[in-house]
Amino acid sequence: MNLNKIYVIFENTMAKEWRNKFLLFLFALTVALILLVNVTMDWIGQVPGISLDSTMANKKLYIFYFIINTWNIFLSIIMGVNCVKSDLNEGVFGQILSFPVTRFEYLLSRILGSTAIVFCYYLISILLALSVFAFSSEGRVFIDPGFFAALLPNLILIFTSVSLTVLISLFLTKIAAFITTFILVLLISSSNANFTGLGFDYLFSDLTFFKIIGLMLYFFLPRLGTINSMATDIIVGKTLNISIWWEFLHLGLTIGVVYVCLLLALRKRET
Amino acid sequence: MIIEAKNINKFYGACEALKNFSLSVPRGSSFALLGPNGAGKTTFVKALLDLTQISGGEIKINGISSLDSKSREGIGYLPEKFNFFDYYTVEGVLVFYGKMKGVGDLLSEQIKMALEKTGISDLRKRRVKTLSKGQMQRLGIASILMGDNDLLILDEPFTGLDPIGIKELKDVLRGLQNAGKTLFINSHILTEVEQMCDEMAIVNKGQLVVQGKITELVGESSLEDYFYQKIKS
Repeated sequence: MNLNKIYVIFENTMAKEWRNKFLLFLFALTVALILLVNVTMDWIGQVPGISLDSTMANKKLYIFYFIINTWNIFLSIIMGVNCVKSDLNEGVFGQILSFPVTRFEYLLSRILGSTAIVFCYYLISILLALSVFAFSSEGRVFIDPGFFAALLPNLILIFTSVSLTVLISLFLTKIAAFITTFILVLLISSSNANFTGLGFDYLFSDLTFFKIIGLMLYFFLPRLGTINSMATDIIVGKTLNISIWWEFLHLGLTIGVVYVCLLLALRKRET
Repeated sequence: MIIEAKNINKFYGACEALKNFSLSVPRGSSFALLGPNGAGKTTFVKALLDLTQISGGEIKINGISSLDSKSREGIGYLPEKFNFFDYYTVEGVLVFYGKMKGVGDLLSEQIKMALEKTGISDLRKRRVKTLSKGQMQRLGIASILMGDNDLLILDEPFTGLDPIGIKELKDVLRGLQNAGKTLFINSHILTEVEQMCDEMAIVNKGQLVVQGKITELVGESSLEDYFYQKIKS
């Protein structure tokens, strides 16, 4: 692995993507939503009979987390659509590969760069939400240590979403790739919600067409929904009812398949 | 030999772009790959840099298979249409190229030298999107001057340049020749090639027609007449 060149392309990805106007628009939208949730929850707290106690304050914080996590996936898709596709569209792909870098090193640095941007966005959004929250609840901030533990699954979630989007973007136009990935993520999340934690006896009984599709998504693609739930459960402090090691093994294998497909697709791509 | 290609085949669907194409480029030479449009010149350059998958055969650069990314160390590549992200400044592009080439402490000096040699010092802070076609081509040439490249692969380098630009490019290339660099020029502008190169190969319909020293092949005739005769026959 040529770490120096990976870093240079990683840096170039950051320089390339922070100019993404849609990213700025989305950030403004997130700020607006955080403020809106804050005002709404404060208004509910002022209703006679409902006081802003610790339960209410925690709910407010979880709504913030929910919004930020949802945007997180949305933003990962936006970044992923542009990440490699813009190099192909602008004719820069061939020029970068004319340096002594492998396709894998190129892909990894582009995807890590996009992941880093979305993760920074995530951290800034969380800090902003906490600041707004602390300000409006007179300093009563309820930060569970689980919040820090949830950073890792969130980082994995972003990386996986960006990788999957890059793969789809190689075959479709930017808009089509965005819509396709978005629908695919919804379907994956739905299949994960339905099948996670269930035994094989249940999974393979009463097979219908839709159940088979759901099972294929569940077994052959990274479980984005499960990782997302894992992150939320860690923050909320719920006990995880899944085998973490099994899930990570599955994630490793499916991500591996995604990267093999990505490399094959890039290999066949004429520059 | 700095480049050795043996029995290269490349298909685009049913169309065979390169047919048992073999080529050897001596180290330190100025080598021209000539051929009419669609002959397979750019396909060969892309195969050299592993930018396109060949259907058969083997290419070695400095004795290393072109499929190994290490074979591209010490190569400067100027594509037919040099391009970069339009919000980058001219200096920013050269910084990127310099870093990718592993230029360390000498980065500022190399950028200054590359800008001066290509006559675009005054464009240093200009964004790529504001450059004309000729200025862009000069930036492309400046970019291949970054780092210590032994082999320079130039795909149609004279295209888009005005007579002044062509003269300046030839001066830059002569400087590189004198420094012992190998130049691999892919072109169909014969007059420039005749002045610049000592070795050549002619490719037509994906097949090697002839390869050797220009003076020996052309003899008393002009390169234009020789080329025309070879292609038509």
